[in-house]
Formats: sequence, C-alpha cells, structure tokens
Amino acid sequence: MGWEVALLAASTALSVDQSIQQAKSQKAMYKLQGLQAQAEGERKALQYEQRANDTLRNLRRSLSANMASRFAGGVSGLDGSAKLIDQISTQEAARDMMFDVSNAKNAILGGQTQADIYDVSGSIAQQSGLLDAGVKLGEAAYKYYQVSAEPTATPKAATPTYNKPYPSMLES
Amino acid sequence: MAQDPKQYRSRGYTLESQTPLRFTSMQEATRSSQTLAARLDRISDFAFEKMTQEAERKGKMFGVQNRPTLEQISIAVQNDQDINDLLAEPGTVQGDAARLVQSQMLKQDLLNDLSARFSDIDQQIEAGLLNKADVITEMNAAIEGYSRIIGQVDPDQEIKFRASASTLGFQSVAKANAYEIKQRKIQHADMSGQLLDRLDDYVQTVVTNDQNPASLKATLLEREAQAQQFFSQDQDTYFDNMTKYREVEKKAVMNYIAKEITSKGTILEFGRGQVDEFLPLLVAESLNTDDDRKAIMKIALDQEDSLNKALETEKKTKQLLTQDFMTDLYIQFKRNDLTAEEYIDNARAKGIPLSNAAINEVMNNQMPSIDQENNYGTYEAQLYQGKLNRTDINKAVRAGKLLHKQGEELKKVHRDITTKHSDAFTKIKGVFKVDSYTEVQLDKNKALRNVISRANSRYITEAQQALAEDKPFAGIQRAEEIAKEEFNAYNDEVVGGIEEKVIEDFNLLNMPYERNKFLNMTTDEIGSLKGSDGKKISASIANRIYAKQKKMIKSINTGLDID
Repeated sequence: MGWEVALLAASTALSVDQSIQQAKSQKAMYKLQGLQAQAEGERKALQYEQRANDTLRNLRRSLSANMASRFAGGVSGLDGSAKLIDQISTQEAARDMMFDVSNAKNAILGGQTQADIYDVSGSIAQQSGLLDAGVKLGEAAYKYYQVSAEPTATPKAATPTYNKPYPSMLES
Repeated sequence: MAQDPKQYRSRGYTLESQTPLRFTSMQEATRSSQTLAARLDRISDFAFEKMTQEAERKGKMFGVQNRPTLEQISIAVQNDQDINDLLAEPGTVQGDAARLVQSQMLKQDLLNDLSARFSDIDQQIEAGLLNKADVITEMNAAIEGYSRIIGQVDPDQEIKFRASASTLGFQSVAKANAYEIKQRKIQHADMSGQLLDRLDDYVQTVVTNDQNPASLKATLLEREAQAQQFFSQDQDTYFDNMTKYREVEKKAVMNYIAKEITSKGTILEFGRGQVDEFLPLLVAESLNTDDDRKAIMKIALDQEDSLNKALETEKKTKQLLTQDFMTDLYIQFKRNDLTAEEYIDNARAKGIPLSNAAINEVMNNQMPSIDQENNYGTYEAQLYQGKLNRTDINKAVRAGKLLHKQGEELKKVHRDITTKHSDAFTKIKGVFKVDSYTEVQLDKNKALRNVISRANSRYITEAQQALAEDKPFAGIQRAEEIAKEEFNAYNDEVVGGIEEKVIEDFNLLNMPYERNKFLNMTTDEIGSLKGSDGKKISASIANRIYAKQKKMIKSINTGLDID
C-alpha cells in the first residue's frame, strides 16, 4: 500500500480544500447579494424621497399661484375660502409626502434586512462547508482504517463447548 | 374673469409593498443540514456495517464452538424434542450467523455420516449381502431421514444436502449395479466353464449310444442350440464361448474315435480309410476328409505314445524304487541289522526275485574269489569314471563276475555318487579357486556366486537324471567338467568386458593388441607406450592401463571379479 495511500491522501485533501473554497465562495456570493439588496433599498428610498420633494414643490407652486392670483384680484389671499383651499391642498400634499417618506424608510429597512439575511446565509454556508470538509476527513480516515488495520492479537484457538444456552452466552 | 384657485390634489400615494425578503439563510441551513445528515448517514452506515460484520463474526464463532453433535441430534429426535433448541436462536445478526454456520456444519456432519453409511453399504455390496433394490431402499431411507433433520433447521441446507446425498447415493447404486452385473458375468462364466468341461463326457456318451448319423447330428445340434441360448446371456463372451463349444465338441469326437482305434489297435486301418465303424459319427461331425482322418490318427498315435511313455516311466520308477529298497535292505544286512533269512524274506515280500546263486551266497556267507575281488575294483573305478550303470552291474552279477553282495555294494556306490553331492561341490569351488579365505568374499561377489550356483545346479540335475535313467555318472569328474565349462564362460564374460576397454585404449594409441603379450607387459613397458602423436602416454593413462592389466590377470587366475 504505497501509491494507493498517497492517492487517497491527495484526493481527500483536494476534496477538503474544495469544500472550504466552495464555502468561501458561497459566503462571498451572499455578501455581494447582501450589498446589492442594501443598495436596492437605498435606491428605492431615494426615489421615494425625490417624489416627496416633487409633492412639496407642487404644493408650493399651487399655494404661490393662488396667493398671487388673489392679491391681484383685490382679495385677501390669506383669509377666507382661499385659506381653506390652501389648507386642504397642504393636507393632501402632506399625506402624499408622508407616505413617500414612510416608503423610503421601509425600502431602506427592507434592503438592510435582506442584506442581513444574506450575511447570515454566508456564515451558514461557510460553516457548512467547513463541517463538510471535516466530515470528509473523518470519512477518509475511517475508510483508511478499514483497509489498513491489521489484527492486533492472534485469535485464540476455539475450544468447542457444545450447546451453551442461547442467546445469553452470545454476549461474551 | 377671476381664475379658479389651484388646489393640490393628492396623487393617491400609499405605503407601497416592499420587495419580498428572500430567506436564503433558512434555505442554506436546510441544504447544509441535509448534506451533513447524508454524510453522517454514510458514516453511520459504515459503522453499522462494521458492527454487523463483527456481530456476524461473533455469531459464526459461536456457531462453530457450539455445533450440535449428531449424537445430540439423535437423542433429541428419539425424545421427540425440537432440534431447533440445540441451535442458535434466529432473529439477530449474531443469531442468524451462528445458526447458518451451525446448519452448514450440521449438513456437512450429516453428509459425512451418510458417506460412512454408504461406505458400509458399499462393503456389504462387495460382500454380496445387499442387492441393488436393498441399496436403493437403504439409501432412500437414509437420505429422507437426514433431510428431514436438516430441513427443520434450514431449508436451504436441506436442498443442498439432498443434492449432495443423491450424488453419494447414486455412486453406491452404481456400484451395486456394477457388482450385480459382475456377479452375473462371473456366474455365467463359471456355468459356461462347467458346460464346456462336461461337454467332452456328454459327447462321449452321445456318440457311444447313438450310431445313427441323422439322429446323432440332431442330438448334437439340439445341444448346441441350448448352449447357444445359454451363452447368449453374456454378449461379451458369446462368440468366444461358441467357438470353444464347437472346438470342444469336435475335439471330443476326435478324441473318442482316437481312443477307440487306439484301444482296438486299428490306427493303421483307420488311416487307410477303413472307417465304417465310425462313419455315422464322422458324417455327423463333418469329419470325413483325409485331413480329418490324419488328425484323428495323430491324436491316436500321440495317445499311444503317451501311454507307452507313462508305462515306461512307471516301469522305471518301479525299478528305481525296487533298487532303492534293495540297496537299503543290503545296508541293513551288511550292518547285521538283518539276518540272511530276513534279507531274503524281505526281498521276496517286495516281489524282488533273487537267484538261487544269490540266495546260496547270502545264506552261506560266500566270499568273493580273487577274480571277483579284482573285478570289483575295476567296476568301482569305472563307476567313478562314469562308465558303468546298474544294469551293467546286474549283468556282471548274473555272469558270475561279481557276487550278489558285491553287486549290491557297487549299486550303493552308484547311488551315493548320484545322490551325495558335497564332494562334487567342493570340487566345483576348487575349480573356481574359491578357498576358505575367498569363500568369505563369495557372499559379496554376486556374479561369481551365481556362476558356482549354476554349476552346482547343473551337477545335481545330471546326477538325478543318471540315477533315474540308470545312466553311468562320473560324479567328481563330471563336477569338474561342469565347473570348468562354467568357469570358462564366466571368465570369457568378465575378462572379455575388461579386455574390450583395453582394446579401446590400444586402438586410441594405434597399437596392436595381443592378450598374452599385454598380460606379460611390465610396468615400465606400459609406461613407455607411445600415443599416435609419437609422445609417451601420460602417467594417469599408464596407470589406468596397468590397473586393467592387473584386473584381467586376477580375473583369469582366480575367477573373482575384483571390482
């Protein structure tokens, strides 16, 4: 048993290394996916923020136009129905903006959460790979033992003792 | 006209649903645990396999150490107990393994026992105690009984047992079959032999009682048909037996006719064709040709010759016994153990006639004359020289040249010469130059010992022949002649063997060989011999030739092969 042992050791080492490398790759992949998820969340949050800004801009534009128009018509722009209309517009815009703010927050949270999950997956994959490598090592060692182990003692010559009661005597 | 105020209208934004989370950690954990579980399962399988092997090993060990003996099985069967109680309990790895081994060994034990039983059966077949039917019954009973036992333990082993047992049984049946065929053949051969032995008598009876050719032929043909039917029971010997039958029948008829013409003294008449008396028989057996008649005549003449020879031998034997008796009687008379009357009476009682002259001589104790004394000396010398026999002595007695007593004395000498060989043997050894010293070596020299034995044997044979046939026999002289003949033959053989090698040497040296010259060569002369190249031969070759010369001289002088 010369070259066979070398072959067994080499193939086992390669297989173990392969498992470790695979675990590392898996972890790196999950890390990347986590970053992607985080970036996606932040991108979405930015979109919501921009839309909220648009809402605010639209509201200001409405209010300014209404005030200018009223004052030009000799009507107070800050009282009466004008004020009521502005209030309603403000309320509407505020609600839209608040939803978008919440959406932005949720997008960031979601992205972060997904990134955390990928992070955990990466750790699990790495641990699994290492464990797999360990089991492979154990398996190889066991197989090697099976084929290479020699009897440690000469078997004693059997002295037939006929008809022992069975099965209690089996466990000897 | 005043413009309508612009009111901000809600876009209807709400909380939007987020991208669903992918719980890859859960999937990864699941995949990882599945892979790990699979790997651990494999290790478990390895371990389980190892434990199973160990358990099987232990079980087998147990099975071997706890094999039930056939005696225990037999007792269990007799006591109507379950034989499974004697075996390991099944249902576990160890138990199953132990039981398998036990059942295998039990099967083998049963087969061995069965084999021993079949061996006994074979012996009984050989002894003629069992026939084929008995063997089959015994075999079936044994196989069936044993199969039931092993069948209770392991059906697989029962199948194997039945197969092996049937093979064993078949061999015994085949033996029984072969034995029966052999016995039948032996019996048939025996009966055939008896039939052929009795055929001669039968034919003699038939031909004596039936002289009619037609009915005789019919009787013989009927008998032949019966024999044919009997011989046909064994095809292997049928043709041989039928051929023998016809030969025996023909010979029996020929013998019968030959015997008849011999006893009636009509051999020549028969030869001349006077065959009327035997015509029916000759016709019946198709023996009426010239050749057949000649053959019958030859048998008749041989029978007559044999008869005459037998009568002659009987006569000679009687004479020899008579002569022996007379010589013994004379010795007793000479020792005074018998009186003259008793001597004469004993001779007469034996039917040996004594002449009146002899009776008077004995009764009167007559002394020989001077001539008779001289004659005695002469005859004695001639006896030793092998020039005289007992008949000559008797003639001399009847002619009065010797007294009766002198004649008997000389016959005693003749008997001594032909029956006592020690002097002759000494003479033979002397010729071979075997003295008291070399006699010790004689045992080691097988060739010489054989030659001397051959000479002794020749001497004894000739002496016995001379005594039996009343021939002159010169004892010592003949011993010497025989010894010399054997000695020369032996020497030619031994010396010739050595001489051949010497001649080979001389041929290599391109030298002419001459025996006497070679035997007289000195050591120096041998040493100065020259080879074909003109150079002196080497010392080792000279020594070899010298050794051969010595050996030849020794062999020629002593007759001893001194290898």
